[in-house]
Amino acid sequence: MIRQARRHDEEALVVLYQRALPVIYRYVLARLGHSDLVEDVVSEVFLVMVESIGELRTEQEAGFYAWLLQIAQGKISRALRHVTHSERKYIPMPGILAAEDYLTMEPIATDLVSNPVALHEWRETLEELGLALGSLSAEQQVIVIGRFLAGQKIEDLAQALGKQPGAVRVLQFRALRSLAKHLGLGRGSRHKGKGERA
Amino acid sequence: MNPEEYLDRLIERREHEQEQLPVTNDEIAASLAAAEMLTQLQEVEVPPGFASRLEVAVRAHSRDLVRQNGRIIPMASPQSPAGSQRFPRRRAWVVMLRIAAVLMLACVGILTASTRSLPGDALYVMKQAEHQFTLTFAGAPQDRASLQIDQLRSALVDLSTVVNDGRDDDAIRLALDTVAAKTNDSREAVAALSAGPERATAQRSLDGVLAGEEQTLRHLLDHVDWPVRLAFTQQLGALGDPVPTVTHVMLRTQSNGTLLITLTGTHFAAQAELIIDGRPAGMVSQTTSQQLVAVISNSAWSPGSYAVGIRNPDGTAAQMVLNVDDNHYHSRQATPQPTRGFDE
Repeated sequence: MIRQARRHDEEALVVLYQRALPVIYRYVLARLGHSDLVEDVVSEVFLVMVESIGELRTEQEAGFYAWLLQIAQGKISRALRHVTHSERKYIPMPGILAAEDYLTMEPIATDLVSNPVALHEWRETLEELGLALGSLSAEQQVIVIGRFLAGQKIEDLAQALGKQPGAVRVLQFRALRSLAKHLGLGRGSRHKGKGERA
Repeated sequence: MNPEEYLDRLIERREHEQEQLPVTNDEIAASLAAAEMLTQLQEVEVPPGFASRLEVAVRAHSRDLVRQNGRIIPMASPQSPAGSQRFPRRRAWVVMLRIAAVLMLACVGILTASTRSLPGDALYVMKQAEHQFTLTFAGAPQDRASLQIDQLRSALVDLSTVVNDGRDDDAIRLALDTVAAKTNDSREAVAALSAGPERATAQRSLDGVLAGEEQTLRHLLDHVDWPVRLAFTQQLGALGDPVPTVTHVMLRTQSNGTLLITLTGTHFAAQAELIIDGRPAGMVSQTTSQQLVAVISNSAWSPGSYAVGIRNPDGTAAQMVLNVDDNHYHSRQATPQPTRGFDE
């Protein structure tokens, strides 16, 4: 499929797009947490994918995801530079907006919409997760997103990144440890309260 | 076993829902919890309308790049076998085979080119015939529905491309007609499926494409001329969007020599403009969702036909033809294909 896409086969490109869209969308949403901006950035990522697929030097799925995530990281950094601090931090309070408004702002599981408390918690979690992900190195982000959102194996990620599987496990361990630290996670506690955030 | 390997093993066992190993320390437990939070991101769903719109953009971008790069089908030219002159009969066969190969490649080339052709291109008829051919041989109803939806998606890409390429109105109309026809065909094909999970899946897929169609049409509205804009508005109406319609036009001479024009219809927006022969005209004095009142100069009117319509701020538009005959005004329903220069 990747080989065909590299020859700009439209159907192959669309198949790759359809597979990768949920992964890239969720990653960008977690990093930016701003619906309009997310759609712009995700669109840019896939248009770059179409333009640059000929330069991709792997035919493996893990390598494709790693490549696409690197493009997304560049686009996210650029978007963050252009967003003002106040816009980025703007989180509407539940109760001010109707449930339908949340749906248009942020794609979430519909069962959350009927539960404002759960919805609020989810938004906080997403924000914290985005900040924590941003604290990781680019390589660590590729590993944890490739592993937990794209469902890639350690061995495949290792091949994609030109590393030994053991080295990728170490990077994964450090990344998760760092995420846990940023999120205030520990044994028996899902994550710490808002006021305790570092 | 070092902690990195142990953590990875724990994660794998959780992924495969196998029996859990003991969590040896707080660091491992926290890392596992972080991994669990990451997997929660999988609950986020991509908005179907956005996914569909972006797919259209990906396809259009891919086609643009292929067109710009001028893809050429490589044609092999094998060397003549040594000593072939000594075997004239064999050489004749070789020549015939080569001709057959060239013809075959030419056919393949034409078919390939036709798949990338756009409305208005000479090969577009072949593309439509090819679509019809694949539909004719679609076996199960769900395959047929799936093909219809794919063809609607492809028609939307074509429409987007012809507008963005600045093709003429005829090409855009042809592309829009194809989209309208494929929209109806897709709806019928999905409705023809018997109730069940396959129909639900097809319906979801169709809903996503129709949402993309609506967004594509609205996005393109500002890039098309007035007559095409009317046709786009009609198609948006066919999708169920609230779009303006004009059902009656009335002209009245005022004492100060100006004319008061009143348009009656539906879905007029607050900032709607009066459009006469494809151009903004008059001064709007009052607008409700069903009526627009404007003042226009009397001197501009002489016996003849005028296309009188409105344009809402979102770009949707509607019009009627008004016949002016020595101070007698008759309005009739306008078609979106006026016979005179009503372009913006």
